[in-house]
Amino acid sequence: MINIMYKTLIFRSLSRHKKKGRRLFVLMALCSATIILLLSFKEDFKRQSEEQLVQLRYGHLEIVPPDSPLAQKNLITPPTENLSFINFDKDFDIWLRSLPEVAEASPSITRYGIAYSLGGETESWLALLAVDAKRLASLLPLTKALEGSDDISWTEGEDVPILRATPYSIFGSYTENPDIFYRYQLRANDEGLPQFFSEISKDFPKIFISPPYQNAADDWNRFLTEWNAFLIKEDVHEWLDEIPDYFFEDYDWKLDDALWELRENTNFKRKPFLKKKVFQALYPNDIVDLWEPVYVGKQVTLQLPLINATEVIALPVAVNAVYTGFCAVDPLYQEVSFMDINAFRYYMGLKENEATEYIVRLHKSSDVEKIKAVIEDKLLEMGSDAKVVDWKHLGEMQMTTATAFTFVIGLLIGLFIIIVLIFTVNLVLISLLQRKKEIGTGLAMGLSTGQTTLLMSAEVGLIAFVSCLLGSVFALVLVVLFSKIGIPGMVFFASGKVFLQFRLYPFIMAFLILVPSTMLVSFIPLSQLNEKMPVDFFKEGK
Amino acid sequence: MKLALQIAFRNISSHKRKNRIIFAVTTVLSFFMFLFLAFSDGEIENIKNGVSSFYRPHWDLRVFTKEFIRLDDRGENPWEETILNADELKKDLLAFPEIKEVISYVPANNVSLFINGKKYLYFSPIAVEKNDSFIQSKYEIVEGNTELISEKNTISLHYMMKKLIGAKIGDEISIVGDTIFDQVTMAKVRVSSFYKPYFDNPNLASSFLMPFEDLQNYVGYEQNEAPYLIIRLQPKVNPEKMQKQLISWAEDTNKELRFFTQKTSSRQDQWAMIYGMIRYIIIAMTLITFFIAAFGMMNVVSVNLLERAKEIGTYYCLGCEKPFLMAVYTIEIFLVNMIGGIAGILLGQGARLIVNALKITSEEPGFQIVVGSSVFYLGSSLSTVVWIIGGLAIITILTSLSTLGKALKVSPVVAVQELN
Repeated sequence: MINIMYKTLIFRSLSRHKKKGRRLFVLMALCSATIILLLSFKEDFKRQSEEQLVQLRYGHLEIVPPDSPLAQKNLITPPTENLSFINFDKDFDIWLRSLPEVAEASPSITRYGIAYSLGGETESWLALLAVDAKRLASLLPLTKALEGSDDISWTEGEDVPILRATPYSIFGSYTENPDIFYRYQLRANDEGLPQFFSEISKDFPKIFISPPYQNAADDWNRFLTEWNAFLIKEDVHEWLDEIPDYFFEDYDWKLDDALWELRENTNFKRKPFLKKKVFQALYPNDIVDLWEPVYVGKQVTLQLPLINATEVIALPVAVNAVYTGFCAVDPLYQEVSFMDINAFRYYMGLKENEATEYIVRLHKSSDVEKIKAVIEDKLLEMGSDAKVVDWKHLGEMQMTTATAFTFVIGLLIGLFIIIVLIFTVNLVLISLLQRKKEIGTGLAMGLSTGQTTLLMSAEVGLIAFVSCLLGSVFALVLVVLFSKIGIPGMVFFASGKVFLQFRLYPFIMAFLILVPSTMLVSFIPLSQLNEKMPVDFFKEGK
Repeated sequence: MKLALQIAFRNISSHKRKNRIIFAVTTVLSFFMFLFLAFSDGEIENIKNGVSSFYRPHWDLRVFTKEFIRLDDRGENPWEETILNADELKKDLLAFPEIKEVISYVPANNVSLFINGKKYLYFSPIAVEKNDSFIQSKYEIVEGNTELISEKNTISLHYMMKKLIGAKIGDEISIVGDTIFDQVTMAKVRVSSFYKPYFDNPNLASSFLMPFEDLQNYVGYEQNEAPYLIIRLQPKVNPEKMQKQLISWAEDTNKELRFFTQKTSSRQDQWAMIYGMIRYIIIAMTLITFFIAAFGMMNVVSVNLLERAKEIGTYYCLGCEKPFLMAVYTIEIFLVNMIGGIAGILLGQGARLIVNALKITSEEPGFQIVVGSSVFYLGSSLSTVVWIIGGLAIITILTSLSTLGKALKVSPVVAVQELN
């Protein structure tokens, strides 16, 4: 009976004063939606950071030699050129991979190399991770090729396939098509271009078929289209015979080199670039020095430093390699390229089971501690002094960003709650003033101050609850939207975005935070009721 | 306008209680906003004073040869293109009274250190010139030869290397790396000291200091050449004006040089850019907060004005027009917001001073990555204050637009009605 009376009074008051409560309702709805979004953002930022670490580089666990820099407490320990190895037999490999919690495990070797273009110039420094080619996709799923293939299986006698870190920086991609000329590759400004046009079209009338090219603005596209169309044509020898004789009057080693490289080249893919190099050698004052860009299918000479050199400087091992594809990279930390561990062992003269670490990826992150203990027991049983380190230790630096965001978001949520609570106190105070006759009547009719306080705070609670419901619906729509398109501007991730996922926890938290806290603070202004007599509420003035 | 301002001030003092809530909210809001942005300012300041000051030391102007810029613009390797008479050019530049320091710059390549039979990878040498007061103010020597610049053929290692690679004072080290011509190069040096940056960062742990001439020689430059020069100006000298002066000086003396100020340089500080992006994310978050606070503010103002119907009615009776009253109440809201905002900023400044006085430091790499250096520092910038004041101004406009139109629709009769 009393319950029915409470319900009637609450709903009647709410419907009568709906205009006054409307803004608080919308404010709370917005606030709850923001809290849900921020909590979702925090969780997904952490999740994506973990995924990037685990699925792109480290796995959940790594088994490493005791003197490995990865086993040290301080991760800024510089790595050494001489590597220490762990050496586990096939039985260990079978045992490890048979654990139901283990998704995949593989021995691996961390090394660096320097890639040289076939023309001889240094292309790039590469951080390499050599793993079992067949296990790469299941061990580190985020290494899936973004361009080209992620198959790094190597066959003896063939070029070693490298799944290369995408040439990318947080400020944008710097790859370019090697098969065409770009405007920046010509030295002349717009005024100087027509002279180059006329010179080159006179020398090569079969390539530039529609002269004259008189001005840069109008004729550039036509000129470039004809030039680039020639570059991708297959004929080479015929064209070389058409180079005017005056180019050979004085010996030029650069031209000689460029012609030799083009004639000897058997790689169809490199032909357009090598033709460009011949043009550069023919017109060195008009065309800038050309660096062979990074592209899928590019052949390189990979220089690997010796594993156990005792000299200060030792000759490296040269490996013929090819970029089979491009994979994602951690934009703020070291980008890693992948190769077949068998190829690495072959070229570096390593034994069959030698590896610098064993990478283990689990089905669930929650099993890390358990499996770590299981592996440590097994290592003890085997008499091995290898150490097991988890992804939290390995990715300590990378995960600090997620920790910082957790802290900032926690503060923001606190700020939102403070704002909502201040406004709630204000609204209840105003209600007390505006509804004083209604309150006084209630008290005169026999309601106690406690019951009145309960009724009014229940009203606030009900507004908070319903606004949280509305906020949840709004937040749900945004979560679904951002799960599809992602939140942009996130330079920390390979995709540049954070993709939200639906989870119940932020929704529950929004309710648990807002409803009780608003109800509780409403008691502050309502406590004034205890000091008043019913007659006080009928006096004029405020 | 003056009258509107006067009435607005009088209204604020006579409705103190009602405005208190707005004041409280804007104070809390601007206090937190200030702290968020002060954290971001501190990060950027830490980076500038720490890792950037070693790898990209402060400069007001940079001097390149025209050919260096031409090659750089076209993506060609510019590092072999140098200023050949660097010492004479330095003397010429120092003749300008506006110029305080001229320093030669040598790029730091990746090198390996061979010590105690082990070769450690990924170290970076940093050149310290004798007259470079800026870089010398960024570190202290914690062990060994206390001179800030190492002697010839000696280096100063980061103090962490004592523990991490077991280096000791007097150890002989071979440095192995590449010259600017891509040839392998090696130098034998001794450890003369260990240095500690005042604003440390994990990126500095593998950096070591060596005399400028040693590094110049090591990477393949002649003694009197440098890829570019760094100019630091006397206080209060405008770099843009100085740039113009130097350009005409170079033209008059037939010098093939180009001068760049911070504003005109295309070479950006990567660290500063990363922390700059983090600042943008923080600013985006403060925007959401401003929006939500604006909504709450509208609620309070609209209820306040509802209660002040009699006062509004009186103004109408006295012949006031609606636009005038719009101005009066907008000024009132703006002033209350501003007072709250300024109070919040002052409180934030107080909190900032207290936090900075605590001198919170850590050797943890994670901590150093988050705050930008080994020192937790809350910074302060004009942009932070402008952003907060601007945000509050936007809140004022939103509040006025959404509430005043309706609230001012009051009949003059209300002024003489009895209170209900």
